Amino acid sequence: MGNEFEAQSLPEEGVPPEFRAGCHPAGRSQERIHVPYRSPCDPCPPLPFKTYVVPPNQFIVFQPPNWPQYPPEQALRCGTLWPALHSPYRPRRGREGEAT
Amino acid sequence: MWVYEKKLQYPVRVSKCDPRMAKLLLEQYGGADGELAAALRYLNQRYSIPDKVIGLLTDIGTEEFAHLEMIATMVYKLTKDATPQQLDAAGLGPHYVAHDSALFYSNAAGVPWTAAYIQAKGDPIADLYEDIAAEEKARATYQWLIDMTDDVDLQDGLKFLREREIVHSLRFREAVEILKEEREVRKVF
Amino acid sequence: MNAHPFHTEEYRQALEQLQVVDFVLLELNLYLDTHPWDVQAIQQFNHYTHERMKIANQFQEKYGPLQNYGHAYSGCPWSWIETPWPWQV
Repeated sequence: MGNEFEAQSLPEEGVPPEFRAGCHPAGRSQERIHVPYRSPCDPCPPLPFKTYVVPPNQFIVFQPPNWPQYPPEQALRCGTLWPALHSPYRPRRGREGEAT
Repeated sequence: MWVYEKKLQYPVRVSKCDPRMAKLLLEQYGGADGELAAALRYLNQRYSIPDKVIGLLTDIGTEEFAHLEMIATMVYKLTKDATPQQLDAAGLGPHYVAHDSALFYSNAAGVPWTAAYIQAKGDPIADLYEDIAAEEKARATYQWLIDMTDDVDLQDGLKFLREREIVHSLRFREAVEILKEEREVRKVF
Repeated sequence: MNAHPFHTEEYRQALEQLQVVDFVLLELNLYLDTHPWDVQAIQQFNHYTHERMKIANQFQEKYGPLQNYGHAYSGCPWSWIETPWPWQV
C-alpha cells in the first residue's frame, strides 16, 4: 500500500508510543469506583467497592480531524481506527478478592 | 437495496462447545438492546430524520447486521453438534423442544423479540438520544457477556463488538451536534 | 492428499487481509458521514477503496465470489452457492 497515505495510516511515528504495543495506552484508567451504603442487615459479605467504565466517547463532543491512527491490522484487532477511541475492558471473572 | 457479502466483519473464533454461553449470547441476538433491534431501529428512523444524518443511520444500521451475523456465528459454533442432553443441561431444553438447533430471535431468557423494543418518535433529537442510549446499553451487555466466559477467543470477538458500540455512540453524538448547528457551512475543520 | 482450500492458513490470512482493509474503510466511512469536508480522510478513503478492489479481486479468483447479484464473476458450476458460508468457516 505504498503512497503518501502509508505514512499517515501505517505510522509508527504518527502513533503515540503508549499505543504501539497493544490497543490501549497506559494513561488514565477508564474505570471508576463507588462504594454502596453498607447495612448490618446485608446478608452477603460486603465488597470493598464496585466499578464501572466511562468510555472515551463521553469526553468527545466532535472528533477533531487528523487524529493518530492505528496501523490497519491493529485497527481491526482493536475495533477502531483511532487509539483515542479505544476502551479496554477488564473482565470481572477471575478478579479474586477484588470488587466488581 | 442491500447486497450480501460472503464474509464476516471480524474473524469469529470459539474454543469449545458451550451451549450455556450460546444461551446467554441470545441477549444480543433477539434482546431489547441486541443487534437485531439496533439494525431495525436505525434503518427505520432514516425515513423521518433530517437528510444530513440519513447516511450515518444507513451505514451504522447496515453494520449492525454484520454484528448480528457475528453473534449468530458464535451461537451456531457454540451449539453445533451438541446433543439434546447437553442443550438441556445448559438450560436450552425449552429452546430445543420448540426450535431444535434453529436460531430464534429471543433474548437470553427465551422471550421472543418484539418491535416494542425499538422507538421511533419522529423527533430527531429524541431519536438520536434513544440511539446513543441503545449503544451504551449494548456496550454494557457485552461487558457482562465477557464476564460470563473464560473462553479468550470468544472474549476477543465480544471485545470487538463492545468497542464498535463506543464508536457508534460517538457518531450519534456528532449527529446531534450537526443538527444543533449548521455545521455544513463550516467548511474548515 | 491436499488440504481443503478453506482449511488452510493461506485462506485464513487472505480473508483477514480483506477484513482489515474493509474495516479501515468502514471506520473512515462512518467518520466521513459526520465530517464530509475532511479532504485528507476522503483521500485516504479513496486510496483504500482502490486497494480494496485489488485485494478483493485476488481473493475472489481463488475462493469464489464475495457478493451476489452481479458484483462478481462466476465460475462453472455457479460458484455463489458453494460452502463455506461465513458462519461455517
